[in-house]
Amino acid sequence: MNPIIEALNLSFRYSGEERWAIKSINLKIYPGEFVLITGPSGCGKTTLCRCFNGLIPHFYEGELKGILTVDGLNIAENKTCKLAQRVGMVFQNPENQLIMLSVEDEIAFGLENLNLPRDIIRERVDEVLSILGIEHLRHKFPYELSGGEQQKVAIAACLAMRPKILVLDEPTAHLDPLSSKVLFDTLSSIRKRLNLTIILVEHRLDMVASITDKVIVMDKGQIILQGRPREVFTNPIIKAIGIGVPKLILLYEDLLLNNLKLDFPPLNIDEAELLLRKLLSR
Amino acid sequence: MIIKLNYPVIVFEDVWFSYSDLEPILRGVNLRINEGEVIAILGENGAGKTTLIKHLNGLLKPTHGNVYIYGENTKNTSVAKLSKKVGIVFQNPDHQLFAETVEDEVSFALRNFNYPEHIISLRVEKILKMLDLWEYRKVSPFSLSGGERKRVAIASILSYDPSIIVMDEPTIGQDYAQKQKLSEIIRLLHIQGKTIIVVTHDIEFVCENFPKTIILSQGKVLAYDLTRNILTNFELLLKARLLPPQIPYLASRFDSIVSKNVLYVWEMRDELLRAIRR
Amino acid sequence: MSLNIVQGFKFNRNNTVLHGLDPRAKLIYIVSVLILSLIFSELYPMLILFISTIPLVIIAKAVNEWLKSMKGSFIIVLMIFILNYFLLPAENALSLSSSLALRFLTIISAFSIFFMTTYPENFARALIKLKVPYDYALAFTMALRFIPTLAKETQTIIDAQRSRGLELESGSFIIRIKRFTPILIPLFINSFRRAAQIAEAMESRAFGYSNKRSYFHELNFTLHDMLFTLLCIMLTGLGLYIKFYLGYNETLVLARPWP
Repeated sequence: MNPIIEALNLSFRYSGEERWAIKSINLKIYPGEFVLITGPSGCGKTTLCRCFNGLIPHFYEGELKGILTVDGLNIAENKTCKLAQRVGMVFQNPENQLIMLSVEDEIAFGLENLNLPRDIIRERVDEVLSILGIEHLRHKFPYELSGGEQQKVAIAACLAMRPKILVLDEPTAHLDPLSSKVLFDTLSSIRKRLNLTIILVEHRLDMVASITDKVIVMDKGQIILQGRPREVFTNPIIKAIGIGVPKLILLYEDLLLNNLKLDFPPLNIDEAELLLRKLLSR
Repeated sequence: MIIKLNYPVIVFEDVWFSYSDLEPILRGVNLRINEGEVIAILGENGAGKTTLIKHLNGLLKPTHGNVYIYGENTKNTSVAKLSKKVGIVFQNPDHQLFAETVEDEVSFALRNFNYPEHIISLRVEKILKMLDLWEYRKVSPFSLSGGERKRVAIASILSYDPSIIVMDEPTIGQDYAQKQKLSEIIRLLHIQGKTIIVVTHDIEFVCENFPKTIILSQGKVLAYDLTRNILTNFELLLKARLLPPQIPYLASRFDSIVSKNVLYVWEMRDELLRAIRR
Repeated sequence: MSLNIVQGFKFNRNNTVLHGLDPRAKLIYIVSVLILSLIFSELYPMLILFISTIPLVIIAKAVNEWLKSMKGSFIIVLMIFILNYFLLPAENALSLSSSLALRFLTIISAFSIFFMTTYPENFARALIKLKVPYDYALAFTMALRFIPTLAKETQTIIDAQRSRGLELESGSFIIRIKRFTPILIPLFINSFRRAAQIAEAMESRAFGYSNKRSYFHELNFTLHDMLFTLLCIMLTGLGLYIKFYLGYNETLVLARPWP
């Protein structure tokens, strides 16, 4: 299978800055993967996201080196408006991405930009409202919605354009834990239903550890670790660079230090329960 | 932990609050908070947390009931006077940063309170050094990173040394290292004898930094107790629409084998070791 | 007190006949009211015009807000009345000042009806139908969209700065203006920041993809709109006829026994 996103030695620095925001990034993301990107503040996660839909280098000026191909398109040669049909992007601040006076208009906005006929627009609006379970919000004014609802609308507005890839840059930063959990559950379910490739930037590793396929850890502009969640979270490097390791992994490691070995590092409560019961029965 | 006499510096007496003729946001809040306490306020979005803390320095006055700060009724005094004793750091530093240099920004409150210039420079130097911002003193606050701007906002309140320090959601958007730094600051302030109140929905952060917690739900205080008791009471957390922290939640699955009062990873490990040796 | 004038302009989501009318038809209504209120300066026609707006307010189910807005206009209306009463020649003073005051109220009333019964989404759609370029109509929509956000942000900034000892109520006029700097600077900077984030989001949804765009919702002039517009035009025509062709005039009225 060919990767849907491929970066070869990708580097970028914003114009007027000396240091490189991202340096020599090499990665391959395959269709259908759920990828988590994490790292301390300032590590380049947001910069990398901006590359995925062409905001870099077309909206953010600077020096781009290396190659990034997204769904066959080279980002250096394709503007965001073209990439937008293949890559949807959801931003941190729920409010500042909703610009219309009703949810329905918001979702239709992207489709109007693409000059799609009215019946297609209607079909797609109905479709995404239903997929995300927000039909009841159709005529609401974005300002009146909760943060969690606003993010759902943002996701719906992206999905209406039928992208293959969805990128979310810290979408839960302004949400409370319950709304965050709802958002992650939503992502899991739409990913399967729509066969999406999802790229999520997150700090709250506890909640997303078990739903992702691949974790990419960045620090100071570079990728320092890539792999499956269980391998990455138990790698001592991530503590060294100041990432908050999920509590269950800390428990796993603590037990290990006391000569108690669980079969594998648990990523969620259910796994942890299973493994501990096995341990106790021995 | 420093123990002081039980002197209630913050008292809420049956406080109700609503804007004009809208639904009440606070519905009969009763609280007594003693000097030197370090307390977290937990609650879902819309529970009334921000409304509650705005009553601490008189930005809002109760529609019914009274709020007393160091014995003084907030209805009888001004926001500026109360702010001298109660420093509130709001959620978004970008809603307050305006000065040309970090130094000026941090001096703002001190100037408003008419401190003499030589005292101002001393205080500013002290607080900037404490928060690792001294190297940025002549720099524009707008050129700093998000985490640094947050620290400038905190510095601008700590500079005038209020006895009660309130922070509204200080952990939003912060990575692990920045939260550690915040924990350090809270610890330092506690040693100085300050009363500290932090509104947050970061349960793990509460677990690690606050001996006592208030749970607010739909404008009412559901509980005000030791953090340990609150975070292991899942019915309470459910009622307040909060998710329990990972370790106690895991412990609850092992009801008969492991003690219910487990909060930390090391406690869970000890309990498991105990259970195995049996 | 005077802020209550604003109450009469807030959109309410009642589903009445007036709400269903095309904004362009309602715009014609306002133009009619403006023309009629300006060509007549006599008391009785003014009174009739003012009273004619009331049934519309009732149909719009917005009586309470309308009353608040009338009450809020009271001070200005009083000022208009008093000023004119003392500045005009004695014999016409009373009726003329009353009619001028009424003119103000009538215009407020008509605009109020327009804003209360027009869906904000339809403003931009009406502009587009009136051949305003899309970008401007969009800017208008976005301005409306972000007004409450900006209002809330302003309040938050004021709260944060007051909590640092900023006093906005005391001091001379000049000092108070200077004190607004810590409010205005964060407001401006945040607005720029917000604008950048909004632009990013719009780009990410293919804004600028092509010069041609489709429109999900389109306003259509229905029979109701036609009839309403016709009615407005006819009444305006009638008014113009009475005023200029028949030479309706205050003195003429006073000379005859009434009615």
